[in-house]
Amino acid sequence: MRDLIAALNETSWSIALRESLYVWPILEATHVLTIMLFAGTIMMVDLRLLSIGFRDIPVSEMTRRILPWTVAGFIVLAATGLLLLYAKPLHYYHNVFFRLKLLLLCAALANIIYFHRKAEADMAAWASGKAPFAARASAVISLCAWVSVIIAGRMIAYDWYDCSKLNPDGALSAFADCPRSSEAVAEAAARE
Amino acid sequence: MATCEDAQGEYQCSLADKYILTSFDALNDSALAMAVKASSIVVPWAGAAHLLALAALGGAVLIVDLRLLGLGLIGRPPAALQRTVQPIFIAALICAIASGAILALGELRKLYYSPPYWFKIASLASAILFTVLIRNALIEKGGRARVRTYATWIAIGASWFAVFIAMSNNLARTALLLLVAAFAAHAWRQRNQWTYDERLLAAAAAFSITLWLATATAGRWIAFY
Repeated sequence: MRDLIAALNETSWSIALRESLYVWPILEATHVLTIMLFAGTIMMVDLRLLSIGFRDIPVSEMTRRILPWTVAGFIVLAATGLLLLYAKPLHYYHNVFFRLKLLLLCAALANIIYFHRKAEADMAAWASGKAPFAARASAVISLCAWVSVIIAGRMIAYDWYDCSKLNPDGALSAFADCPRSSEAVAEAAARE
Repeated sequence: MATCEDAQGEYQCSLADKYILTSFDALNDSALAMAVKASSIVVPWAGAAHLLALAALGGAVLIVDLRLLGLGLIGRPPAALQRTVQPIFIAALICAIASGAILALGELRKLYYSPPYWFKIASLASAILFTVLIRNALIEKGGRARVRTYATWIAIGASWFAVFIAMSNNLARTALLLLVAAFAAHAWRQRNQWTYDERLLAAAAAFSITLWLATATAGRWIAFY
């Protein structure tokens, strides 16, 4: 896996992307700004499910009219996110916060599947009133998960837990698949 | 022009250097700014809070603006939607400004010389004024505008555009043109469905999205400049 990522890291398009003057900032800015569309709209649907806001609007109307915009936001986020990943694959591969973000993203997506498969099943019965426990729980998980994804995403920029700063035999180092101490020594020796 | 003073004596400087730079420097030396700069976690957490506030602010603005453009919650009266999201909008704006102030305390010297930062501040002021004085007022009146509304709208728009032209690069200008083209194409497609009042509301929504998006983009660009 790491060899594949390292090879990807050396492809000419990857190098061109991370060294570009404008393309990388444009992708990064688009990724961050689309949070307004994606997280902003999903928050509104969650607030409705929790009956905190939009109480006079049926849940079915919120999901039908608002979620297409959320999906559009997600497509932009995924596309720009994948390109940003392609620009610095090795950097993100070893980044603790990037790995944490992926785990949180999986939890958030699992929650979406749960909502549409189970919680939403009998929506016609309660759409105009208070959502049942399963749907409200799903809304709370959604809010917590996306807030955590955004926080983890922001923290990717900081280097506190870069491989070079971790104890090579520690748990965090293993979590980030950093080179083990002996391997690192061998690699450094090979480079000499 | 003004006269500034340093260890070497008096010299000619701009009014901004005399008054704004000195207050930035005073703030920069304050205990609060020192504490922000000394901590390694305050700025990252303020950055995360700033992003979360941006998400909520974007959601609150877009729910109403999409409706005014004939998209999103089209079955609901705009005034009701506007009143529903008003508390979210205000809370998110307060959080964004508070977290933004903490972020600013960490790099005041850099910000003073940063065009994206000054554009962001000017654009934020325009966006708040436009949202409160024009967009929300128009929504309450169902799109009926008085001469005063048009005059305020033109004043805010012209001053924002003057600052934009003065401080933007060709990349930002191209992005603005594309955004305006997208709104124009949407308006063309809807041309037979909108009354005059609805057109005015849609224009206000397009204006609002443009100002808030410009503010957020400039904010992100501070790090790239």
